[in-house]
Amino acid sequence: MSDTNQDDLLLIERARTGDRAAFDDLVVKYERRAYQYAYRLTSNGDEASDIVADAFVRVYNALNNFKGQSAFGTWLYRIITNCYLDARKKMRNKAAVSLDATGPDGEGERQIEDESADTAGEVERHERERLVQVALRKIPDYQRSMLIMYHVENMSYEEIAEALDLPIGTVKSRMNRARLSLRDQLSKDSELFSLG
Amino acid sequence: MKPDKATDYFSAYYEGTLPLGLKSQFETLLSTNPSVADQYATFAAALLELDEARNIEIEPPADLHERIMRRVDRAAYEQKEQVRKGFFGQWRLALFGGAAAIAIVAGVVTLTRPDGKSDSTYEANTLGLSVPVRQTEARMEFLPRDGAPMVQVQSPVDDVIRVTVYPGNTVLAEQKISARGTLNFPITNSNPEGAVIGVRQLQGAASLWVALPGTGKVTLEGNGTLGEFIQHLANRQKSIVVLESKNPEEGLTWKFTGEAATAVETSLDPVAVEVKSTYIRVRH
Repeated sequence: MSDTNQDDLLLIERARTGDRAAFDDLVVKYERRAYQYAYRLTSNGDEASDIVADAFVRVYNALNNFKGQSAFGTWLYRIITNCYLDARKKMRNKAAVSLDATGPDGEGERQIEDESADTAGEVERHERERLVQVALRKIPDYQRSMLIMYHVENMSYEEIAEALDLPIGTVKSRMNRARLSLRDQLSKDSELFSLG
Repeated sequence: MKPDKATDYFSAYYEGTLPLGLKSQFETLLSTNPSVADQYATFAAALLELDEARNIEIEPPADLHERIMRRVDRAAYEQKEQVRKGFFGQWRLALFGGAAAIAIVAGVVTLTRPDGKSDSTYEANTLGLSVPVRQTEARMEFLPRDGAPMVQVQSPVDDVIRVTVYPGNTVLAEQKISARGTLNFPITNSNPEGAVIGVRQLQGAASLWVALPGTGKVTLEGNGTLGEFIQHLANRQKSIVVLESKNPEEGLTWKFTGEAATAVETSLDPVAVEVKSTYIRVRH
């Protein structure tokens, strides 16, 4: 068992006895990563914060159910994904904030690394990025969460299978379908997404 | 490899996990079928873009941690409330009504003779709780019933049970009881403010003081009499509180230090607060 898992289990054990400080430490350890994942799912800061808060409440209520067979982080991903899917079900005609929403200074909500000195290339890259995000929002929520887990959160198939409680084979076939869905949405802008 | 099956292999080819034979067939298809090639090109470009997104740092809001812990603390509090309501919820249903005055509603009283046969029925209003039985002291027992709590009084001697409102001595009811007899009373309280009722045996020394919860103001700290203290405790915990003390007029200061009924400090020593399954007992 890794040191991280061992530390997490100790915190969880203490939290189960009502040790609020232990639970607080657990939250501090994972909240940033949790927020980043939730934000990538929702593209909305407030929504992401709500989902993360909901997720940690569910963690708190289910502490006794966590057996330590998977890493706490993986378990947390599952809970965040479920909170996200539940929240989406409740939403009616609510538009997610897109990457082209701007703040007072004209910059997007996210901090974007800008390494390109080529203005035209930079514009094209931003546009592709925007189109991918728009397409992501159009595919089913469950597929979006899988794509983000793999490509953005850099989780392995094994971790995703654990998080979603699915066999690896099922994860791989669903991942392929999710990617194809994304491709279908992007097919209208194929010029920007051509390798040739 | 048939073109319509090609998409099944997109992911494996992208990840480099396609077996050699299939990989060769797939690459042949890419080079000979422009439609499949275009589809794969879009597919791969999208995934490359997604992969790039992991390099983008997303800064959480400054108040994220506070927001999370506020929700968690609230969930913890609501959990405790659920447990507490499970004990006392039915009492709230039984004890809250709409009228302004204290009303201990008369129910059918069964007076049991020592030979076990029932006598005629009486209207009577008393309530109390279990106390140690001495030679002349009546035994008063609080009996929870679904939506209809009742009090049972047993006396070893002929006596009179008087029920009064605290503070003061307004008599609500007075009832004779035979030696070794039993009285059973259903009770309700329709005073939304709550009430403290004293049950006393006139000839024997038994007495109990019962605070019925209401919506009266609750402060974290206070000073007054034991009778006032148990009313505060009853209102705060939304539960019946029973005081086992000869003198409810004794003065004290109190301070509630937490959510639990036992989380209270008092200047009077000793004051023992004990949570029972359906009520709270205070002894001094």
